[in-house]
Amino acid sequence: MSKARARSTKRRSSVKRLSLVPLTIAAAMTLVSPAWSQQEAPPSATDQVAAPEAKEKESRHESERHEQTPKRFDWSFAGAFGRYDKAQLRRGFKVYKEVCSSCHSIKMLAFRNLSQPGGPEFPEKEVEALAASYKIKDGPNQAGEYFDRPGRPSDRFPPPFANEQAARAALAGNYPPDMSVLAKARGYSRGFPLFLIDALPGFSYQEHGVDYIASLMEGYEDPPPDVKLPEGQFYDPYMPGRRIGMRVHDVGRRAAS
Amino acid sequence: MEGHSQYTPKSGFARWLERRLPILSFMHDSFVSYPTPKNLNYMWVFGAILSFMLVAQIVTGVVLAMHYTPETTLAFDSVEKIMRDVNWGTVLRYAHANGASMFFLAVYLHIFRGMYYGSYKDPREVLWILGVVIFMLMMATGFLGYVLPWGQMSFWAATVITNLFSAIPVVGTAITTWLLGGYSVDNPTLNRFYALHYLVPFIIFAIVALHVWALHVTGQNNPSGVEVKDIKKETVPFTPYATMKDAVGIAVFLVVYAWLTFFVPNYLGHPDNYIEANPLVTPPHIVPEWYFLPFYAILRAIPNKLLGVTALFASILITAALPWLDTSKVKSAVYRPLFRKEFWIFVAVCIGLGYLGAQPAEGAYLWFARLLSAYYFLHFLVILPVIGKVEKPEPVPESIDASILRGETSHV
Amino acid sequence: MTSKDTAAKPAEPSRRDILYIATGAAAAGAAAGMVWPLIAQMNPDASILALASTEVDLSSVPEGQIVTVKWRGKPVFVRHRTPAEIKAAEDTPLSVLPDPEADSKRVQKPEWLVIIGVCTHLGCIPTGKEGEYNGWFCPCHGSVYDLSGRIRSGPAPTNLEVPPYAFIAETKIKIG
Repeated sequence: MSKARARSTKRRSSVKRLSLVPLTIAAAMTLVSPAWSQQEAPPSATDQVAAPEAKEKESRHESERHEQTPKRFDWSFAGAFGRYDKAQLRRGFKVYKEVCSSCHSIKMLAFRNLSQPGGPEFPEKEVEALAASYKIKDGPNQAGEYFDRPGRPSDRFPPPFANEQAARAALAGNYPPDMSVLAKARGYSRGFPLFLIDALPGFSYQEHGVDYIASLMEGYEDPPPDVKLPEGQFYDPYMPGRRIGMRVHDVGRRAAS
Repeated sequence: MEGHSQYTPKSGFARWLERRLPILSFMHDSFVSYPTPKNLNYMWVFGAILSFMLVAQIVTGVVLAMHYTPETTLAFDSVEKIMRDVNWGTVLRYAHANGASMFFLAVYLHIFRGMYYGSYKDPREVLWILGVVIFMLMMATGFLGYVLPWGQMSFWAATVITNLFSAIPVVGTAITTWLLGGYSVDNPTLNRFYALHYLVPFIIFAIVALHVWALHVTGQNNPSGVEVKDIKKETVPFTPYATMKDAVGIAVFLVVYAWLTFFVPNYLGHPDNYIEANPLVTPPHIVPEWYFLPFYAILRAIPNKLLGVTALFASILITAALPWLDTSKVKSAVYRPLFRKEFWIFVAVCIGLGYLGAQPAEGAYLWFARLLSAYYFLHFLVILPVIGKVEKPEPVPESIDASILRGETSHV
Repeated sequence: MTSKDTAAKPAEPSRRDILYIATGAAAAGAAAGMVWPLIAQMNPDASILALASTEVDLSSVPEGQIVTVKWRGKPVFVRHRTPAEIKAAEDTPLSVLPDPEADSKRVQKPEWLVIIGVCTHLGCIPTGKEGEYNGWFCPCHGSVYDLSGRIRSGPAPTNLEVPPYAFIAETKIKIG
């Protein structure tokens, strides 16, 4: 972790919105290396929907296929001197534990990562207590049986579902992705020549994945009148295909207010 | 080029060893007293940079192999374990992954240098062909290594590349099955790719030794393309002159390498490779690493499987025939007004193909890719042979010294 | 080549010499910085360092039995000693021991002997309830250990090691 001076602690309002917090921790967990942040006016998510009807009819086909380019946020960890905000990471973990973890695994992370320098840095005692509140499969014991025992800091987070099939069976066919490296596993193309600028010292930016996840979390909206969504699906212009099975919409709104 | 060794052992042990194994005089002749043309410019530092990168990749690779697990259910997690748990694992893995990119960047500059200054011409044909062999082995190694993290791009790259061989008539499917060790990319594939990814770099190392040997037999080409006539007057000893220049080149190169590794480590990678391989879902856009993009564009430009695959391999192999396709008697583009311009068009075509390789193969992109692919082959098969005949070269200096006096070759 | 340049007047280092030395020192520092991660990566990684402790439930170990548990990849023998075995271990005079150590120093509760099951000779695993003293016997090179895991005869130089452990309940220990 960079020991560089923390960027201004002045948080933008986006950070206050709790729905973003799990994304921040997702970003922190992936240990994305810092890069310089740039501010851009975020395009309004509602522009597309508010377009005149005639035009909408023409663009509808296109808009259904292609997702919107994510907004760009001001992350404290962006830039060569960026740092993770400890309080933000701690809130992020709280939201993960209370909301996301019912469907999403972070199976590559261990409890001990929570007390690691550069992360949320929970005290070790708290991490031990937290780990003990989880049940970890272990065994076989002397009787040859597998058993559950309380977790230890060295254990990895147990996933909410044993495997992909179990998740799909329980969640109406949806498979929530593992969040251990989610921010690195998402991104979007900025196109020529902007993608070149993203690499340059002083301008470098690699928070595309975090931007995407944050935009997606905030992007839930009512579908255009002509879009019929199947039961259990939601409309999000940032999702490829614009349909999403994740029920985080209400949760995010509730947590924000 | 080399006469008797100028090396005289100084210590008693050196004299003792020299009589039994003349390795000290060999090293001295190869890397100290070896004469280098005195007009070499900074385009000649890439050989040293490539040697450095080969060693860097082998060292970081061997180290990563100590922590990696070539098994489909563990490979992805073991890479992430390297990133999170292994001491310095993040740096080591990013250095290896970005090292591959830097290696290819250097090799492309090295190749274009050779093309511009005619380094493939008599008497350096074998040197050039060995270079082409090294380049192909590098591509194989890069591809094999890309499969190991077992992300989505790894898996589908392995699927697509091994399926190239299924284009071969009659035996194609059997060859693909043999390569995969099954009917699809699976554990046997990953396991053998790992073994080969570990092996091939050492073969590269051996061929690099031949490459350097061939170089030291013929001596280096130089920006004027005129052979050294007077070793005393027109060359300087490798150490300190070339050593120091190479050191400067490596230092500058390392700055870029370090920037990539430490500050934008995933810039050249694809996000999809952080999704674990899933044999049931293909990502919407399969894109190879940037250094394969021009060849990938050529493959996709041709709407016929066998012809596409043939064009892909031909586009690489054709460079081996370069010494015989270029009919010009003059080596260096410095004295070839027509070729000098055409060379930059060719470079632009290669970069254009690289750009198109990353775009979806549809609409205008596809037509541009066809146009540029056609030009790529025309360059080798028609333009180079014809230019050599019709071009009126500018007067070539009698010697390297004459070229320097004319103030021509001290640039870059 | 610096020596050639300055051969005429070796007493005064030239500006060029200083530049060479400074550059060389910087290069050596950079090389050391590059080599260090290559060496340090072979040390135990974070996940291994975190696996420092193992808990053992003793209630299921009947008197006279030995159970083997794994701690840091090594076997740890937990022996529920009988009163007779305890007495035999305690009554052994220190003078007959090659590596004198009182039994009371090696146990926290006399009925529970907890030792690392790795022969101190060359690392083999001794077998339990064998040998002259019914303690342990190492099949590799014939070291004989007594009921306290102390070396009595054979090539092993020291007693079987006692790992750090603590009773976290009446019948539960935490090793490490």
